[in-house]
Amino acid sequence: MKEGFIPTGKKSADFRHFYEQYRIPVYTFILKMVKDRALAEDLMQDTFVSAVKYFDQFQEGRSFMSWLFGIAHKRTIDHFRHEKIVRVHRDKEESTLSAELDRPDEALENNTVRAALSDALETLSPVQREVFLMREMGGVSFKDIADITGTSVNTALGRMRLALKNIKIEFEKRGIYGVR
Amino acid sequence: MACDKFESEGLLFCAGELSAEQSVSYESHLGECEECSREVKEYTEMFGEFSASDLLAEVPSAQCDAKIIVALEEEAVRQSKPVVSFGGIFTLFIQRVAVPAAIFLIALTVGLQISHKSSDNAASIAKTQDSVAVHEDSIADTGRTFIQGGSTGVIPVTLEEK
Repeated sequence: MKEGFIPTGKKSADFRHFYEQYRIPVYTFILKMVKDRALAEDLMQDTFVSAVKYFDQFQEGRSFMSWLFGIAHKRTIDHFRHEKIVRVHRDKEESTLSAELDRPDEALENNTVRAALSDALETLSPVQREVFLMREMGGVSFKDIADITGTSVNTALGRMRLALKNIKIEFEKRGIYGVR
Repeated sequence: MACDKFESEGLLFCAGELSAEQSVSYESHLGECEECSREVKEYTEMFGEFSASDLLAEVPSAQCDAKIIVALEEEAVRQSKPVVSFGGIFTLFIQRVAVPAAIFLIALTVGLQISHKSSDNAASIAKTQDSVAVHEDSIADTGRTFIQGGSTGVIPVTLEEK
């Protein structure tokens, strides 16, 4: 996705415009990572409020999308860390949560490519998924992905390649070769 | 032997993240390497015409949008107000009250000391003058020789010379 509007003032209209511009890629990234709509909405609110709050820390010349995805990624990771701590105490609820995993709408099931891609994402490890989503949803550069995830560019590239391999396997299973 | 250039350069090439020089170099590599050509072709075929972002895009609910816009507007209002924090109040107190008060107290103390000293000096001068007068009177009375200077290099003088 191309860089869009970046809030420069502190007017509420600026923030509204800013939210409208970036809501879909950020929401998709968070939702595909946490797989729970209600949780994704909370994390997205945290992400946007933090972005507005700490906007002064955004360095000009850097990609705004990368910066925003960096915040979204941090919120998601914080959630997973918290989740890991409490997981032991809620095995029962875990099974309920997995029943709530996001599934494409019925109408969209007809779109086999979309469904295949959504399902293929489920087969990826979280680290592969985050690299793939940042790259494909946000157009975040591999260098920025490496910075955000605290790895090297080569590691980010390796994870992307594995993600692509797994997606390809899923596509082949369904007889889809090539999104076209 | 398997080529690992797709992972290190091919993905960057597909993402448009190679420099012009690197792109030219990788393109010439594609002419020679079947494996890289296949991988680049697969990648562009998979996401060439429809981007994954279009396929995966999820739209937040209207409720969620409304909630977040309210939160952002609240944040905007909060940011437009001057920040009143403990640190800010403390700094303001230091600037407006503590520093002027300290300067005033120092000035007052110094002023009092100076005035005290000058009154002490006046009193001691008056006392010295009285004692000298008494001493001179006593010398005049006795008519003895007055010795000017210390114990060495004594110059005898008379009261008339003085």
